[in-house]
Amino acid sequence: MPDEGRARHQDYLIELPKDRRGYPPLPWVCAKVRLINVYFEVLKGPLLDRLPPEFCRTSPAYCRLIIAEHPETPAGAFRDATIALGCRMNMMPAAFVAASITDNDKVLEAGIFERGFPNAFGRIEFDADGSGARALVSDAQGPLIEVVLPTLQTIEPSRLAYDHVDALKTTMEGKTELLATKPDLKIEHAAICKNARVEYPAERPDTPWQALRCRNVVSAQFVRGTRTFDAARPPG
Amino acid sequence: MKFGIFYEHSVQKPWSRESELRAYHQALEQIELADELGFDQVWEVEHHFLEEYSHSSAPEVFLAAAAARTKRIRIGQGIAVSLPQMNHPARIAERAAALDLISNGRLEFGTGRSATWTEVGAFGIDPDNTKEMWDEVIRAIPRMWTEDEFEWNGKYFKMPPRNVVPKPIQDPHPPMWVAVSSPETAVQAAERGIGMLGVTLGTPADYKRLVSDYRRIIKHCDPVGKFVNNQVNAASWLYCGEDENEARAVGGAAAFNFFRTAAHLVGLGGIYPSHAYTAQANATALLSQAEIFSLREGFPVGTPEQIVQNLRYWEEVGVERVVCMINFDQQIPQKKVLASLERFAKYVMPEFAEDRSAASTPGSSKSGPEAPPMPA
Repeated sequence: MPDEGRARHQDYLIELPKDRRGYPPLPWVCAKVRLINVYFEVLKGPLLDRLPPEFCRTSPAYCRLIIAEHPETPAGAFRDATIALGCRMNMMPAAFVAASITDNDKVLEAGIFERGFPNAFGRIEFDADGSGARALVSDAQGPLIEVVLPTLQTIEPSRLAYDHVDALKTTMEGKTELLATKPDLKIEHAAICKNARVEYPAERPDTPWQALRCRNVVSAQFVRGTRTFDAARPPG
Repeated sequence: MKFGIFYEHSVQKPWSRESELRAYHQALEQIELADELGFDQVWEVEHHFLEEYSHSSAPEVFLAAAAARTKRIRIGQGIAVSLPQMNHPARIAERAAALDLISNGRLEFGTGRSATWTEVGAFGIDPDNTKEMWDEVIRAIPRMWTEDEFEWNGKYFKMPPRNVVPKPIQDPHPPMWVAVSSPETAVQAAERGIGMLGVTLGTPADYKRLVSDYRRIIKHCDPVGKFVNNQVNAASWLYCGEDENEARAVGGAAAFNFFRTAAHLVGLGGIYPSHAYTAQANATALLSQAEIFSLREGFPVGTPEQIVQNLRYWEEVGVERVVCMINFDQQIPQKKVLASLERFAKYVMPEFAEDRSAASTPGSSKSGPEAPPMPA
């Protein structure tokens, strides 16, 4: 039997915001999105430590890092960054969200109450031109992870296919609920980078962003398109 | 129709020191019996680092042991990974030739390029280039086998003049195959005049179009070897049960184990966008394959009567060889595996006896020579 995750659901419980300020009703269709997606290998131990037991790891263990900039949305401009654990659930490919950050209050609230992610506030730098892309993700304590795509090569968008993402949402009753967010991106332009780097500007080994440290970049892509920020549903 | 067995050397957890030992030695015992019972071929894969799914990284070593314990069954490398960074082409040619000698000319030589990030990524191979690499390697190897001064100046490997020895005993060389899991590769096999080694574990319906295209195109091929190997091999599972319920419970469970374990592989199409591999958010593809639960038509799992009927479906789409996994994940007790082989030989094989005697033998295709005599 493949190795099952050994994280406890309560490890993913968060303290819900006491004052709800509200957010526009979902779904939000977000145009002109720019997004960096990187797959990289990690050690199996830290991945299994953060993976709930409904999931099994792959071999090798890998993560998916998604960093996106949304200039036009009903919630205003925002950026978000998510690190998800590559895994399988009932033999189906899946990616479980280990950590996710946004820089927009409305998005944070919608993420917490509708999807389970993003569920933390932070700061995200995002730079891209026609030839390269770079993003830096930070929280209140400082930088967490940086990804650099020095050389982009345009490809046919049909060569990319992204799957759904699963996350544990904290319910009003203080329990967890496993939810899936379906593939949310309509790709209009796609490029790959064969010399991408994942870097760690400051040592923060206790955060999931660095505990799941990149051992080997598998692939990196930069895309432009339309992303739909929607509520999550039970998986399956 | 010809029948064979094939091995991934899957080893399910929890592992002990003896897990792999048992898998290898039980497989050898099964092959010895299959040889006695009249199975035509045994194939073994080459995979690296695919824990549980396949602990078969040195197939030439295993197949040499199988050859030494058998007399008649054909010995298939299914496949030798034909990527210079994983296996230097001269080493592929040398090992295959040695295996042909050890087996007294019984080698079937399969080629391919791997489909997992686990393997390709480990050897630092650019997935975008694997198809081109394979194409270069399969053109070089027949020349290594047949020329006494081989020289190569290609895009992916270079060699000064050398005599690659030993040479295979089959004249001019062993039949060549390629692992086929897509319509594109079926066409490429036909264009190059090599056998189509189906590896998708699909149904006859899945193979129908592939086989049709292959047969049509190979008539006009430019063979990479010295002869055309116009043959189609399909892959499936085999469990010939005592009754239907037992067959489904035992053989069906083994087939299910295959998908459970395979689901945890990291295919290139899912996480590495490349023109050389189909992009897929893998859930869809795996969902359809999970239909194995229902034991669709064509799967030789059942009673002897059901298996005969299922194998007829393969005949109808033009497949002349079916090779089967017989104990994926080592979950079926060895005694039952051997009994299944015996029942298959006793009750199923005779139904295809006429076909088997008329079926083509290696080297008997379009422009091929006779099979070589067996050295004393």
